[in-house]
Amino acid sequence: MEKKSKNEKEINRRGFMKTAALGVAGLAAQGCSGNINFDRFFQSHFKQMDKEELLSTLKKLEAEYSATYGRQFVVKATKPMEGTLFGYGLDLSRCIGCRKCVYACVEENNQIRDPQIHWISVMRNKKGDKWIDLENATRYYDPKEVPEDGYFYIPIGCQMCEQSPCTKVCPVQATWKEADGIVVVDYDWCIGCRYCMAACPYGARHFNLAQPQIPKDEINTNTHYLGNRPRPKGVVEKCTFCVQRTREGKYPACAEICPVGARKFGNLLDPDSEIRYLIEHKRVFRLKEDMNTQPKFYYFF
Amino acid sequence: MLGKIRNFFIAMKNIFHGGPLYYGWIGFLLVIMLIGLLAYSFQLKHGFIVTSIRDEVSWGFYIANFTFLVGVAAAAVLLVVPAYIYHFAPVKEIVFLGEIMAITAICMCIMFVTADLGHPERLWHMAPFVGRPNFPSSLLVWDVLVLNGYLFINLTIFLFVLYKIYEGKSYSAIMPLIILSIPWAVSIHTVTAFLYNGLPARPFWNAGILAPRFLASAFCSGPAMMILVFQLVAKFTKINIDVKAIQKVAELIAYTMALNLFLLGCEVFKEFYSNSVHLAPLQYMYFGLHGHNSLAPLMWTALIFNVTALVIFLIPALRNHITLLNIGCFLIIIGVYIEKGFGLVIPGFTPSTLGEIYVYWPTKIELGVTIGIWATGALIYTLLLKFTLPVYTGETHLQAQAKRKEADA
Amino acid sequence: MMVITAAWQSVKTSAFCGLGCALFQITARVFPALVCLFLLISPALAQDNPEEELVPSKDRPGYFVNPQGEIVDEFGLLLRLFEHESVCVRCHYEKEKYEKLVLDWDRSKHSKNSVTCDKCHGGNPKGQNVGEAKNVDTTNFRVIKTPLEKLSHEEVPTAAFAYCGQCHGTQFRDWRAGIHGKRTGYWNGEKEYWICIRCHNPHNTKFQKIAPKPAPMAPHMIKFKG
Repeated sequence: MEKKSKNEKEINRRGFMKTAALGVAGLAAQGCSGNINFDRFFQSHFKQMDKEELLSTLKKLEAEYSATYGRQFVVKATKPMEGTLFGYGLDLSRCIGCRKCVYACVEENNQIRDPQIHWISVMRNKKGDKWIDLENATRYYDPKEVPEDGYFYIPIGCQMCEQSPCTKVCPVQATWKEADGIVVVDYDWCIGCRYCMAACPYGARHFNLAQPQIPKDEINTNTHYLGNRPRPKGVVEKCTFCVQRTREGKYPACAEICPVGARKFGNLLDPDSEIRYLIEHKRVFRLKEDMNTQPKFYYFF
Repeated sequence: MLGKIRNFFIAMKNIFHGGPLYYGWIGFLLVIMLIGLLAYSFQLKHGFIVTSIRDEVSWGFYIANFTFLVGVAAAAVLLVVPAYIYHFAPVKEIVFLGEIMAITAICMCIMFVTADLGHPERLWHMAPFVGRPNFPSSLLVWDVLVLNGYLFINLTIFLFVLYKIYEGKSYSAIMPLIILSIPWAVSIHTVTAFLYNGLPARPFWNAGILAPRFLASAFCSGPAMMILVFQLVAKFTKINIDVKAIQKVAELIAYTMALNLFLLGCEVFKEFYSNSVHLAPLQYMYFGLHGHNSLAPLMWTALIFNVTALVIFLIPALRNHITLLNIGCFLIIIGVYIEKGFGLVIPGFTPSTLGEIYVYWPTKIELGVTIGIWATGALIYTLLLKFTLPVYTGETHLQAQAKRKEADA
Repeated sequence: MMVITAAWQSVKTSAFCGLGCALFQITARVFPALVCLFLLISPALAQDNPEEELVPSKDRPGYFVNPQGEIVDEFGLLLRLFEHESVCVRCHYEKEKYEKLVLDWDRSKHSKNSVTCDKCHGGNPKGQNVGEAKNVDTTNFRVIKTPLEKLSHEEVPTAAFAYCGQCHGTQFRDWRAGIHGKRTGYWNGEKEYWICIRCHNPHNTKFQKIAPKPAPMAPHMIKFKG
């Protein structure tokens, strides 16, 4: 009698363990299915890809995006130009806080609309005795008209630091500084640990909280692997100085759209460029210079 | 060799046999683990939007728990030193309980960090040779290395010593590894502290005092947890724990809690007296900032708990009273859990780098995953204990002898 | 005796009637005239009357609208324009085509610093008649034959210098270097330097405020939906 009940107990226990194990496996599979792309699971790091792998990866991506969004995508991997080091200048006496740069960037770089990601934050500061007082600045100003009297505006995005703290802390080298000075992210290598976000002093890095939803008619199909191609969820992204445009000689989208010409862009290594002229003739400063990150984003009045 | 493996499986079988209380406990833990698993799969499916993690506060409840548990893991060394270096007999008898706790804590740490990743399937990117670990620049790689190393060391020591006890032989061969585990335990928590410390973007963490604070709080919360757990073990198993061992550990807690509060005082003085803009996180913690003061009640609770616990532990008459001791341990665990978990991670991000305040409270999903991982930890501890105790008390030896007699006959 | 009394009576009556008639005539004629006069000068009186509020007219800048909805004139403005030092203004402020421009200009900093029409559009500001006023001096640059927008690539810097750069030298120098104003095109290739008037209106120099694009979502507003 006792033995029988013991056997029953054993059978019940075994049955329970089996069903539990199956349930767990099923749940895990269901949970993972939305996240893992087995096709490109073993894809190498961008810097380690040989030409063949790079071309085949770009083709796979183009096919994937074209299928998802129903439009023909181009994914490039344009190399940095020889002899370039990009710098950015921002004229604070002219910025009116209209946010046209913010939304031009969103459209050019295929940022998710929901949940919203903006690569540029325009901070509104009160004119007065305090300098750039970030604690009392706000980016949620919403007046009928800008510029508002008594305020000035500072747009902040990735500063492309020469000694960037974000690249220093990434555990898998998913973010690095390219030869032309742009700090880029390999979205297929990033593990989403968000250490770089903790390290960035400028709040320039953003995390994809959900699967990107970009309206099909607003999407930009001219993309770069390290730049504005649609990102998967769970990776970090940030401004790339419009790498898909600037490496072909064009201005970034924000510089082109600014209605008051407050944004200047150019090659720091070219002595005749406007960015060099700006640095030499205007009183330039950079944000949080005491951090010694050596940003390449110069503000001036 | 074959005999050794067979003996190992005989010992393993003990996991599956126990009384109704044991099955009830395991069943309860499995249910909570299931909740955790459901929550985690929901998070994997929909992304981090289901948590409260946003750009402004990019680390939250998972990393808070991780930080607390690394401290608990490091605290095992407080048992190792008296046991193996000073051969203090009462502690030596129970040092394996501390080692099991360290192993469990490390496992939980690994689970918390994995739960916090946007792409956990890409963890292989951090492995040497197949991935591209950013060594020696990134502290996260160092942390992974030392934590896994600590896990490996503890498992090795634990299994080796256990096997030697089972065979009745001396385990002195593993002494070098035991000696190594002492500075290694300190280093795991120092590296975790450096992970926060090396970020000038977060002035709340960028203080030289952070690593000492971590160690001080670890060495009072870990042993407090151990005291409570050991008493439970003594209650539900055949193990006897010498009260002297508990008293010794309690004494150590007194000193480390005093140090912890002193270091907190140093930090508070520096920020409040200097009155620079970097005062903002501390002000947010204790008094609220710009109308946001939801964290203050929690932080004051932690402070009051810690001070009360210090009083209990400092006075020998109080700390030797078993009920007061347990209350004190409970207060320390809650106090340090708040201070080192939530009260470390959130103020580091508040205000954000652009001066914004985002009030972070974990969502149901985060809470679900967290309790699931804690339940997993409890399960690992229970199973390891179930495996170890019979070996320790000699039961397994008798079982193995019986099996061999059967086989011969 | 009775005749005299009757005659006196009739004289009295007729005199009375006559007086009455005269009075009536006077009142009947003068009174409306008085009323008209009063109506004519009442706006002037009303101006001193603090109860009558005049708001600036949106349709005709420089004019005002009274509570009755009628567009009334600000005497000072029109008088000043009528007697302006620059001959061009005296006529062009009335012509519908140029009215807004002139009125805008009058409010701008340019007018307050004597940057009058002739400085950009040429002509003789002291001319006594149309012919003299329009007498264009062809020997200097202050001649517009082509609208600024239609200038060729080579003419643009010259034009910018000629019209704006003569006074705004610093801005012109910075514009040529590329750090004032806007350029589009290629940072390492051909650029289009936007000429001054593409951003700045020389008649209405103050930058008009614009509506900003929507504010970003605060992090606590970003929620999981379903």
